[in-house]
Amino acid sequence: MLVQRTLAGEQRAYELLVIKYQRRVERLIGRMVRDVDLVQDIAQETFIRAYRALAQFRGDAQFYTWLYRIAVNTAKKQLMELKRDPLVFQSQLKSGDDDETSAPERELNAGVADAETPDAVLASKEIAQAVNAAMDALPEELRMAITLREIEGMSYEEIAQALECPIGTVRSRIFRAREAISQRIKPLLERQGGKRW
Amino acid sequence: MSDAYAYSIAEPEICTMKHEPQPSSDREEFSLEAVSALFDGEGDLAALDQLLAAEANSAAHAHWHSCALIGDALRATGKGRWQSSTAFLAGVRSQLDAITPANVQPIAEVVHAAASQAAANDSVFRWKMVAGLASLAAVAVVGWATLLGSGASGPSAASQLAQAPGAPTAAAQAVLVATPQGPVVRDPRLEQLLAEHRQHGGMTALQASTGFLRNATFDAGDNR
Repeated sequence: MLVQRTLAGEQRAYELLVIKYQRRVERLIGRMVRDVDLVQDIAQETFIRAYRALAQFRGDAQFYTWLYRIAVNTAKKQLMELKRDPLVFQSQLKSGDDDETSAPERELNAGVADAETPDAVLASKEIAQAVNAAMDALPEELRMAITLREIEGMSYEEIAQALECPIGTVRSRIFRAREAISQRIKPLLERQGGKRW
Repeated sequence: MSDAYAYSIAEPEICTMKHEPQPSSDREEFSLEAVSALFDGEGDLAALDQLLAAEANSAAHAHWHSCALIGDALRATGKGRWQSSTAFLAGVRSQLDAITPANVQPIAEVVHAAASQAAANDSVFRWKMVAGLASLAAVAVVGWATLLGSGASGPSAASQLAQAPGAPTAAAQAVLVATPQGPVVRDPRLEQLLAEHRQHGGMTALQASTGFLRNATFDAGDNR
């Protein structure tokens, strides 16, 4: 739906897609390029290229699968350009050739860039801990619903079948789980200066 | 963003929970639930309209951010690093603003356009003029030569080729010739065909000695 609305000319619909997939794309590119700033640039370029080519997205595959290909190609192109520049090649191109064809799932467990600032690492670590603590504190049915959705990638219908409850209940459980986790990480995010994460 | 977290977390519901329309904050919470479902690709058009119509700093948009962050945090089992999406989105937005629907083009064309480089003298107009005039002169010369050639020498090569294999002429009639071995049909077209066949088959259609020489030359070439 967001893709169709973007093609209809609503740029805000595309911005929602950017928010949704930004970090996944960054982590994917981070597998190929270690420089933090370069990862950001390539990620932005990926979204711009995807926006330009959005009319070619036919919906046969998931949007992220399509975006994933563009991200990999954009990163490869960037790496090729870096190879032409010996001054930046050594510093930027640390692991550019590894895992170019790894599955999208692997990027989820990817290592991160070397040039991170300590406060960014700490903030990320705290958020991860808070999310995990919030997950542990969730009632079983909420934890199960959000796990099946976010970790296993199941649809609401599949979750409803697995948990033997109506789809509306699945939808409600996932929402409440997210709200509970949001409450837990809210102080951390506010400490980061009110930025949206 | 703080608006997004202004809603209290209700007690976990049981499977038979129903959503009934309620005034005040419950109704807004229900809309956030719709945003949550929309994030998972399970929402409806009404929810999407609602989200797109909302302000960028609204609770609905904040909830969308939260959904993205929580999902990323849950999936990232190792070291995780989460950049704020605000700056990133601002960067993308500034570039998107420069892209109008008119210059949205297929990605292959974008790559092709980036790959092609302008010539060093591209900005010099007289070189384009010279190139144009040269092309025009070349076309005129070739056209003139073709015109002269076809007018001076009777039937053109093309018409000859068209005639050759097709309609038999009066001279190309088969005749019956008496030989010591008996009567033989001598067809000029058949003999020409056989001669061509032997010539292209590596054997000469001329005298035997010439054929020997051709074969000898051919064998010498193989033994190099």
